[in-house]
Amino acid sequence: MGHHHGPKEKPSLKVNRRHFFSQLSVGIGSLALGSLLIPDLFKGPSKEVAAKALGVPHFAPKAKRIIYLFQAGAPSQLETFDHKPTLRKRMGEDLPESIRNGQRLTGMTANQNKFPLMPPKVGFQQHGQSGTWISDFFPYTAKIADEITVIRSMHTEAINHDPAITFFQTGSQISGRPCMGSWLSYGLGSENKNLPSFVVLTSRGKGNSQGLYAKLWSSGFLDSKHQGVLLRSGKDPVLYLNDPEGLSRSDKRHLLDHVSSLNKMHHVETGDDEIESRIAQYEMAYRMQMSVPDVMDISKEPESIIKLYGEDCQVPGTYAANALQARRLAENGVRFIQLYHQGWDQHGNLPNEMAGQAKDVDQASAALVLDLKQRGMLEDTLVVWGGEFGRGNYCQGKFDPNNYGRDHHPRAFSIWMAGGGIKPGLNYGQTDEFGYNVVENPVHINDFHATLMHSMGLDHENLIYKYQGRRFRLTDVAGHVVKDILA
Amino acid sequence: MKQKVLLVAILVVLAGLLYGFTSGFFNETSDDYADFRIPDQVDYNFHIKPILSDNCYTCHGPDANKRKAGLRLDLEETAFLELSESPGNYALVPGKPAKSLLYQHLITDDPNIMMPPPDSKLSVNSYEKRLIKKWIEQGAKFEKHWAYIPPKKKEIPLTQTPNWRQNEIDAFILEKLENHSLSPSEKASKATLIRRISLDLTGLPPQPEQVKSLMANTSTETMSKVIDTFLASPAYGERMTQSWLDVARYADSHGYQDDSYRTMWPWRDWVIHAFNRNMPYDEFLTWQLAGDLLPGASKEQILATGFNRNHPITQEGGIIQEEYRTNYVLDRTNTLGKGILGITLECARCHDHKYDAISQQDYFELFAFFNQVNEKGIQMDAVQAARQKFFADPPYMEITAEETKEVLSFINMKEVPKIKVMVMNDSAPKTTYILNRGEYDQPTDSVNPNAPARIFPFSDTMPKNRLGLAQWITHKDNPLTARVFVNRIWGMLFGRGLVETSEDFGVQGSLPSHPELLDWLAADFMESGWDIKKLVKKIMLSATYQQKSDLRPDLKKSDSENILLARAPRFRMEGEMIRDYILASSGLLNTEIGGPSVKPYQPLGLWEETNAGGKRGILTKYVPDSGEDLYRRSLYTFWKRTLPPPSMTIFDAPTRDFCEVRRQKTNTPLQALALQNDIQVLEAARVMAQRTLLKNKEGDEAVREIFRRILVRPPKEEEFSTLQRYYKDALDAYLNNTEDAEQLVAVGEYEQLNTDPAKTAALMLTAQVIYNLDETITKE
Amino acid sequence: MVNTQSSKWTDYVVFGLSVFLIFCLLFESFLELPVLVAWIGRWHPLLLHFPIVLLLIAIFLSLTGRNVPPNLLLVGVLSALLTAISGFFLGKEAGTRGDLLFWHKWLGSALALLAVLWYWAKSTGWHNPVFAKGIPLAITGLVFFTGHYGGMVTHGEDFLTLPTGKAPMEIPENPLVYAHIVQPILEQNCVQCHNPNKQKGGLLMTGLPGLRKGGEKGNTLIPGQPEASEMIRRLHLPVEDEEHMPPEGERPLQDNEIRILERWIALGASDTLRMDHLEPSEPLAKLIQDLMVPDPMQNWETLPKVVDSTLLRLSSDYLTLTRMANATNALKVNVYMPPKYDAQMVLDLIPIQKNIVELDLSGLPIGQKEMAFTANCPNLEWLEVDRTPISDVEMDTLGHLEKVRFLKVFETRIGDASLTLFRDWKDLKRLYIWDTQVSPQVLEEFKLERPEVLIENGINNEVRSFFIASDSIPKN
Repeated sequence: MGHHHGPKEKPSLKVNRRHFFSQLSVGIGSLALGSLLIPDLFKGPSKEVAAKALGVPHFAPKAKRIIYLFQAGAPSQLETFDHKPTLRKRMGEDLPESIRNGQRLTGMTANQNKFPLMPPKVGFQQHGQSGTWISDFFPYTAKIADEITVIRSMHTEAINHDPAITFFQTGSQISGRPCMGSWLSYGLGSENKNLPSFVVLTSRGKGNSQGLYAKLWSSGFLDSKHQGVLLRSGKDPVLYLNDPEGLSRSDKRHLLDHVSSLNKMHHVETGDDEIESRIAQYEMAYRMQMSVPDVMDISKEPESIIKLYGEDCQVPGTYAANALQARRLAENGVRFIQLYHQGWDQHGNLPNEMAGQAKDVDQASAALVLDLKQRGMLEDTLVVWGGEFGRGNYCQGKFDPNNYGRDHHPRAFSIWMAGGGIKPGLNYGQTDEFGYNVVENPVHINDFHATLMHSMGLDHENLIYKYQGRRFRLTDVAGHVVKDILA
Repeated sequence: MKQKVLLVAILVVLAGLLYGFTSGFFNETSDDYADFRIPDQVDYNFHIKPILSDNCYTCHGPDANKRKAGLRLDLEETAFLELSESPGNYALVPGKPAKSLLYQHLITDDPNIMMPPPDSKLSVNSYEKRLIKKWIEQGAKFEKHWAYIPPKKKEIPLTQTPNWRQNEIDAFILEKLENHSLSPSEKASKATLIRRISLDLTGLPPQPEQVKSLMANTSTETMSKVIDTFLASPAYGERMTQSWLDVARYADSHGYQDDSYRTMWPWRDWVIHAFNRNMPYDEFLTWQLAGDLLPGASKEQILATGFNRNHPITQEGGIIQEEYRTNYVLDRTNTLGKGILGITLECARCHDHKYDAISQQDYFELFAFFNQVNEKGIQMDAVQAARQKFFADPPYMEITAEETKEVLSFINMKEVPKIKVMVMNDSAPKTTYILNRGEYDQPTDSVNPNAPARIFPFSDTMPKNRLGLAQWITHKDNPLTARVFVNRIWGMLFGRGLVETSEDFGVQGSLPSHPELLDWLAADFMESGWDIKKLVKKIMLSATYQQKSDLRPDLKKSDSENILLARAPRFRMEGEMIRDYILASSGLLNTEIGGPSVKPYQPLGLWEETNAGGKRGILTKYVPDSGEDLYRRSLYTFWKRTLPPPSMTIFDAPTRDFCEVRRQKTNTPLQALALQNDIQVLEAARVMAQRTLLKNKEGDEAVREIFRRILVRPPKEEEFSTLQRYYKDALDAYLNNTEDAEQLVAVGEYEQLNTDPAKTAALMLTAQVIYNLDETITKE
Repeated sequence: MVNTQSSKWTDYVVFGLSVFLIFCLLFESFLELPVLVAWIGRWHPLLLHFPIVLLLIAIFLSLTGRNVPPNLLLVGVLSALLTAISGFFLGKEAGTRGDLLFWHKWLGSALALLAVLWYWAKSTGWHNPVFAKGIPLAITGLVFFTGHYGGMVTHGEDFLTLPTGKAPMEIPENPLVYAHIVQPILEQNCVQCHNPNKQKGGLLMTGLPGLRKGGEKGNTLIPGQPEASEMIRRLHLPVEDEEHMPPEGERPLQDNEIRILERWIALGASDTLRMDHLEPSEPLAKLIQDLMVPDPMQNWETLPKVVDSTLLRLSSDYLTLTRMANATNALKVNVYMPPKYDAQMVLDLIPIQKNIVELDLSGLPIGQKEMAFTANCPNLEWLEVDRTPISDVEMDTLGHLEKVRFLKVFETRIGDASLTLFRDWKDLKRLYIWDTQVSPQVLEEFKLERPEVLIENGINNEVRSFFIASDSIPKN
């Protein structure tokens, strides 16, 4: 019955005998191995915690890289993918206590004495063979309805932006843990030695926005070579990348050659190999000075592509531009490409602000998926679109169906994924008729992480780092791979 | 007849053989793993506990909820009990591995009984198994965790080559070296030592004049003289403060969402002051933990308590106050654990500690000490705060310009009339509850302030408040405080502590490489009245510290990590030190002490790109200072938590979101780029070039000059010829291309001195070459 | 019977060894083997063949009334003793004290000692018709059983059992959910304790009736209601829970196994349900498919071995060479455009051609050489040569790449000829082929001929025009 049998083999001496003989050969043969096995007497037994070798997937991966289109501020599920006619039918009625069921509220609505249900001001249609419900804010996303899997049953614990977004990036609400991207870089290494394996691009819409923080691309306790590199629009895409005015590329080469020859002399004197690796780092830096601008230069992109992503993509720093960059970076073997688009925090004036935010991201996000698809990259690139939590189904502030706000809501929200071994055109999970609680196939953030790692060929329980005497995982002590959405 | 004799003979032989097996007579000849020898006397703390802790405690340890099969292995009294689930059997039977299920289940291959269970992803290697076996054979003796036994001075070991020794420290080091048949390295050159000591004590390269005079001095007491010189300089306080800021998670912004401005810098000025007047460490701690509770607390003492208000404070609209107030108290508790006691308390927040015998109750008893603060939490969000200049959340103290003229003279007020600083008080007494899973909204039983008895019992004579806590911490019988600090100082000087995990002395932490030395230093430190300068000097006077740092070929093989210290360490400086080094060596450094944090060069637009919109607080746009403030020491660089200065973080500075006691020492391309293209460096190179040229030093002379200024030593011939060649090439290049030269030397705000652009450019790049050498950013 | 001095001496050895063997057996629990001695044990598998042969010959001779050459018997007995002793050591080191080993040990020892007895009887000329026949027969029996147990110990218990329905088997095309999927899962995880011999909790899980009947509580399986079924409930309990199944120590079921059981019960727990009855949207279908597709890792098991040092040596700044996954020899090659490209950097990989399953040359100025190289990568499954100057000519050198299933050739100059080439690439599943010189009709033909191949020739025009016509952000 296939590999499914493998691990279940009844334990038998066979194993042991092989084991004996291997020991025999190794043992007598090489003491070298012995020295590998010998635990450091001072540090106590030094454990190889990562049960599997680092830098390689644990098993054959579906995806080789991830593009994460993070919508910072948390777009409302009720105006994007979670269609709830009931809200219109019962508009203005108070949210039944049975539904709210003790959910804690943020300070912003905690003192509200009524929670009048508020329907979305935007219409919903079904799209594609999958019949996915998508709001009219997203006409372009509608066109890729059959490429994406919408998960409407995401849920988290955090109700404030900072902890929520930190949770999404690091698997913990408290700062200090490594980010998803860092974990992947740690687990899989980089595909292209001339580019960082984890990059971050930010953009901002006109909507009410929340800040971003370096900890959202920090490598925590992992080696900081795994930390996300902020790619910036403008002439210095990577900090300190550009040589000063008046120093030509050849001058630079000349300078570096002398630096390394002097370093080499010193290496001979001190015998410290750290110097050699510094020389190597200088070389990589030198290469990055070429490869990075190269990747970021979209001038060679044909008109058709520009049109596909929208004219906007020629304006550096826009979401559209970043989306196009994301594809180029993916093409060049960057493992984890993290986009942030700020401005999704609609406590008020939601209909207008969301319309604007949607305009920023809708076409480019859809274009990215189409572009990846035609390049065969949807086969091995996983795209994720979503925010840090959902928004309440009741009105925040003055009750006005044309201009309302929604407060944070952790119990149910929607995201979509595409490619990288995810089933296309699937709708996963269900919320109740109020769009408030998950009633079918809940997906917790830990599960989401487990699934992402799985598609990257990593066993989330097996990618471990021991720090302060504890074994850490992105999924902490929880997380189940959501097998149902895997193709 | 003959037959009978033979029979007897054979039987005797066989019996002999059997005896041989059982008594392990043949083990000596064990061939396979000959080279990892089991110590004759297996030590519980050093050999066994780590194995048990790492592999067994998760299910058979302190955590009562997760305990399996009713077996608890971390306590002697429980480990030998009959197994509740298999009567008649014991996990441990002293002297009888064959009867000890613990060992039997370790060596079995039957997955049903195998320990650790296959699905745990844990495994015990054969060496560890043999250790356990031998330990059981030797009677399976338990001991208290080494770090919980108060440090005592053991007698100084005698060594074969006493002439190398310069003080007690060397004896301990040498003993270990001799055990591993290694010899120490010879003494480093005087120049190297001066640079090394200067860096360690002041975080700055020695000034050429200093070097001259110190080199001149040839008395036997030279080194002691050198050390005193640097200890006396105010830069010492700044250097020590630098590393304390990581522990105290100091920052100039609140952190979290909007991350707006806060005024904690007067506290930072106090720390510098405290170090410079060599305040004893116990006092240093007492003031910071409980200055406000001291009888007739002075303003200075109250200011010191700012230590516990350095944690991030949210200004995010709509947070639940109690949730965050709890977080702040948790932060203080964790900081106490990690930064001062060297134990990771965090784990006990949600459940009994899996490895250290610290229960959730212990944790919240400590928590209780910090839970009495009258903190209102967020008063206004970043926007309002900006408008109303509200830069300190209550409770705070107010410091006026007058006061800074007298009692608080160490505060560099600049022209501010008065300033608010967040401090501690106990004016809001609360009952503390054990929080289920550490969640603020799940209180269970109530607890009173108390400290973990396992470490050292909290006596009734001590008041049940932070002052009592301070007394407990600085009590001479507290096994941790002194050890942890001494170890951190050691780590500061040697790149790694005697206990590598300087943040974790617990069961899961690494073991001291030289336990006796650690204890000796800790005990000596306390005897000396917690005298920090004395401690540092002691270490620096040791032959161990004064060795060469070169990696001898034999060491590369036998001790590449330099755990045994047969040579001095050689490691990259911290980001702050590198920047200061460049400023100082170029003569740009502005040595002003203290005051509000400053904003040196930083790549444009960094804050703007990630802020939450222009009006959110006053830290949304980075406007670099100008003039002298561009050249202040790095510890005065403005620290915005959510986006710390890149020139620091690129060199592994922590974000200061929480207490950090140990920095990584990575080596990345981004560091290479920063050193090549950061304006700060380019400008320094330029100014140095111009100044050198102005002194009418030209060509070779100039090259030698800048080399000496930067590396504190004359160039070797080979080095010199290389640089000379480079300078010439560059010069030629720029002579035919003066625009480039002019563009290049235009870098930086510092006034342009009137020198020939081509020469300047060439010399500047030569300086750049030197600034980018490994040696320059390395402490040798 | 003649007793020469020499034979006397050997007698002592025999005697001594027997005593030693008995000693070992008696004092086993006190014995701790030093490595050297344990090492002796490892010769057991070699030694054991001697006594079998020699003793059987001896027995044959004696039963057929011929006289047994004493030295033959002597050597047989000695080897039997040595085998027993070495076996004892081996078993001791094995750690596991399973029943099999237990029987093997005692039978083996008995065999050796009985042989000694026989030898002694013969050499002392002590004669008794019953023994003369009895002992050899007994020995024969022992040889058989000892050997059998030994075999099972080494090769697994079911080594000799005839293949029956229970034995592992491949899943057929359209499997019966119960018989082919569910029951095997139960077999592996549950029947150890829930079989006719030891019906833990009165539950019999060897067949559907037993499940339907259930255990003491009888609610083991409630068709249509997985959540109400005791079996599922217990599977979901935390491992440390007393009621969790399988009990602590046993390997818990994998998620997918639990899901399968759940869905099967949810769908009514019938034994007639077949794969093709399932809705495509039904998760169970997916779960079963996953079981049926063999892990790609298996296909790679046959690839030649490459060591990491080789990978290190062959990869460079612009060429990344990595394993497809942990512990496989299948390799993935990514080449990125260096400042100065030279075909050599690819050709350097010739030594490991057989291991390359993924090759990414997209965007490089490749030509004949690289394609010739590619043609010699027999195990290639994934090829990216998009955005390259290659045309039919270069493509032609590829000839048959049997295993390629994924091919990117968009933005190249290839034409119809190449397409005809691809026709014979049997495993081809995906083809990215827009912006080439392939003529539409030829592409159409290809589609007809290879309907299973998913062909991507650019974003479909209707969609594209929608994107191009309107721009989300109006220019101002």
